[in-house]
Amino acid sequence: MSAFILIRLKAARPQLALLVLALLVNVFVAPGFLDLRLQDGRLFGGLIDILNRGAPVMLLAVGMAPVIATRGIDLSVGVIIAISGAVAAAGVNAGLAWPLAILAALATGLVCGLWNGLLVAVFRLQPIVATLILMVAGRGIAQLITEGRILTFTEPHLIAVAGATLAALPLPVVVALAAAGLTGLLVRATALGLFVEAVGTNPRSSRLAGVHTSLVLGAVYVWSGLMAALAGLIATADIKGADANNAGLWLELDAILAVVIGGTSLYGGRFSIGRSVLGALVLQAMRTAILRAGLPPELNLVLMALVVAAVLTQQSPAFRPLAQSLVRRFKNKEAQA
Amino acid sequence: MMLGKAPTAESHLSRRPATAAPSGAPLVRAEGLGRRRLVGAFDAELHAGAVLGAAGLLGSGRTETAMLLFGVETADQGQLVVDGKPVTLRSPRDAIRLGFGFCPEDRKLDGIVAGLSIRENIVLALQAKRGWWRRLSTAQQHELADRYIKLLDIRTPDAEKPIQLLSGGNQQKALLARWLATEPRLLILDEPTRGIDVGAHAEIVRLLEDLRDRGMALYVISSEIEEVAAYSDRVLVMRDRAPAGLLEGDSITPAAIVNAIAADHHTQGAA
Repeated sequence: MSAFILIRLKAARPQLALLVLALLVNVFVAPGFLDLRLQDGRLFGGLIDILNRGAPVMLLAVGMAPVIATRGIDLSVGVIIAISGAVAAAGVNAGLAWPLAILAALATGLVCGLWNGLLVAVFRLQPIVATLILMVAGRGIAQLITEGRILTFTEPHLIAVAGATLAALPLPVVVALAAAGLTGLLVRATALGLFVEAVGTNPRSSRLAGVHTSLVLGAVYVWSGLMAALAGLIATADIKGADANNAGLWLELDAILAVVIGGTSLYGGRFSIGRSVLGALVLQAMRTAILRAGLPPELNLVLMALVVAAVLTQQSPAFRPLAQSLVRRFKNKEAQA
Repeated sequence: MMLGKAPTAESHLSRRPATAAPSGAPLVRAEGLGRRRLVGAFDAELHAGAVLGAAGLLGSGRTETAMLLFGVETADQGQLVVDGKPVTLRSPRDAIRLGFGFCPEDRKLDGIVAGLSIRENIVLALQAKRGWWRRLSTAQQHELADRYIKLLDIRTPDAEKPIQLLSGGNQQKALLARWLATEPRLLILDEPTRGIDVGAHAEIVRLLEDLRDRGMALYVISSEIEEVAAYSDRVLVMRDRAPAGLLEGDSITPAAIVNAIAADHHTQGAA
């Protein structure tokens, strides 16, 4: 077991290095960053903040990784956050008991995922187009549910989804880590991981080998929808209201980036839930560092984009030979001089 | 035990069909099976321990017969009888459930899953047959892969190598291993020896003969007419996407197959 964990850690070295780097920048701009203190049975500190703030994108990345591994993409997860949040808020405001409101929100995510899965697996639409449909329509659906307003609520249990503490950790952190663990178990303790990777690498061969390709494709979108609904509950509880226009806005891009930083290729194939979670944390740590450095917020996106471009270029197979030849040329010049 | 080895002085192209002619009820019988715009109605009988060969020019409809027999395409006429019962194959999964296996013609496009390891490629069909819930443990997968690597003499340092790094012949052996692991009753092979070096070529032919002698039914599509003539008990000749004849027993010679393939091309040319 420990050998198994060691192998996994070894495979995650680039992501861990990035995370350490991003955390070091945080320490540099905010010296007390690493301090942890226990207060009223809950841990507080910079690291906990990153886990807590990063929980929604962690959840999205957990759902997105298998989707991308099948050579697909799910552009609708940001919108599913808005829809499921709206359902939960409208539910409690209409007098629904909080467990039912939460279940309704999760069911909404499942239905959204089922819709995407149907379009991709059964009707064979290209994933980017299939999920774009919901991405475009979804904000409208969420606005219909909230009737165009920011739907605030006071139901304490629903608010607790973002505010409660479990095992000294904020509940969103526990939920995100549990979802990641469950998903990892689901794909690696069963044959689903192999099927996902086989279908993503060569769908024709996989079908001829007897893999139920449409079921595998459908399942990853359903799971992604469910993870997005969990993220939606957290996001909604966090602001004690459902904002159809802004909830989850552009988070699908963060999720895709997290998965790609986690080493999964957009061409499908090998994927890792753990490394995708690390990718999400890298993004959150970067964002926090930029904010804490007091840089103008306009600069945030530009800096993030630059860092991401650097990370991805470094991973690209075309870049390495190029970099190596540049280094060689540089060394030759030095030798001549 | 090593399948397909023990080379003898005898050429692998000398005629060595099954010792006893196929008799009794066939395992699989295609009766006027066909699909519009794919292939015209054809009959075929596949017996345990016997080889049905398929010959014909490129585009003659040979591969299409295999697609109907394996459920890659669903027939819209005729019927398929397995174990005396009529069946409809809607997908390869249906065929695999009946104990069929299929090594397709285009190894790269339809066969190997490049990027996955040799081990994963070998266990894929068996795992798919078991379903996603009943995962073969990593130890079982290693045991299975290592057994077939030894059995089929797949030349690789270990089972974890990505399969695309193997030579064509070894990739083909790995695909055979994928199906042998499911213990099929019928193995359908489309051009099993195309693009393979001479040594591996002979090994694969001997392996097919071994499998037949162990009681497997084989349907082998091949453009190597000498080879088809050597190991087949019956030969289905296809022409213009329709059956053009069935050769049996002593009438199976390379010359007879060529004649059947080419038969009325002259008359067609004149018309």
